[in-house]
Amino acid sequence: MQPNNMAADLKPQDQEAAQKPKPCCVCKDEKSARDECMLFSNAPDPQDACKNLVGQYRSCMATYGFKLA
Amino acid sequence: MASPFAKTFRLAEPGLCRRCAALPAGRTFASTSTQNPKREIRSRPTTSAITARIRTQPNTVRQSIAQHGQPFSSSSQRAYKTVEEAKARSRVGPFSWQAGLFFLLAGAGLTVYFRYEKARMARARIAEANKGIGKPLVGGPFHLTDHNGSEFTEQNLKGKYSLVYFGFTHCPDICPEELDKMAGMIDRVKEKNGGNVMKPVFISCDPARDTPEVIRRYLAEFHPEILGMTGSWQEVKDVCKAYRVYFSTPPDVQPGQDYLVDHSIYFYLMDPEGDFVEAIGRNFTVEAAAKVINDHIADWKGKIDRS
Repeated sequence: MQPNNMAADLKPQDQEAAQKPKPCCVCKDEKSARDECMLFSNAPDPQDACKNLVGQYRSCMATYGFKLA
Repeated sequence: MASPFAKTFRLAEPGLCRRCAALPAGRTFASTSTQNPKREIRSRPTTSAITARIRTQPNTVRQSIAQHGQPFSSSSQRAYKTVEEAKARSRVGPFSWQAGLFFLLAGAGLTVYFRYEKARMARARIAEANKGIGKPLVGGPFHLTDHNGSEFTEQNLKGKYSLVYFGFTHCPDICPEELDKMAGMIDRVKEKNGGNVMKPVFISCDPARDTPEVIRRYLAEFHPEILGMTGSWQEVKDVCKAYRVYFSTPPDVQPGQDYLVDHSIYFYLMDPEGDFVEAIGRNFTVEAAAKVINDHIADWKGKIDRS
């Protein structure tokens, strides 16, 4: 039974928002690995050269439900 | 060595002057006694001569000459008459308090100097290495449109240092945070170097939603000097490739389509010749990043266009 005040309405939403991760802040290790690889890559197309790390990052994001192009 | 002198030898050893230490070892005074005076000066001196040399040379030389008729005599007659005298002399030895103080000051001075030089060399190496092989090949030609509607290419970056940041206006958390940091960095650099040495640039990775007008309004909230720019999808893709920035925006988005714009998060510092200097990551605080930039600007030996 929830008390009839504004806090009651806020609480469930807050919990939901807190639990749902944001795309900026998940898979940070994969993201930095990818960024470093691209930064230091000498290939003409660094995004292609670092495909495996990009792929790892994509699959990590997919586990959170974020689809990356 | 005669044992009475062994102790004095140990005390005197550390204070051995460079010249004495550099002399070829091997010949003791005893063995050179038969050779002529010129040669014996070159051979490695024994304990007594060492301790004698440590004191002011002219004094002992004069003493020696007065006693024996020649400097650094090879006979068993030393400059000191007794063992006690020799010990007393060597106990004071080279370690007077003035020498100690000078040593400390010289050591401190050298440490400070070397630390400064090391830091400067490290920065120079970073800056120079990027002009050769083996370092990030960031930078290159690009063509974009700035938030005032004018054309902007890599040529417009030359003449001043520039700080390039890739982002997009719909970014909820990271871009605002990083742009706040960027504003802080700009102000600190201005403070240290006067205005207009560094041009801050924001390149949008989301050309479909970020028109020049949108970018202009967005950047106004952070710092008036940041120049935003965007281009066609292909132009943005090309500049991201040149700067080795991860770019994931899909090419043909429908209005209202939701998609994630993901990108590498670095500030790219470029020098007045348009060459890459350093990539400043998210782990740098505003002060640390501003310090890095200010140090590079201070190291720059060429001209900076301050218009």
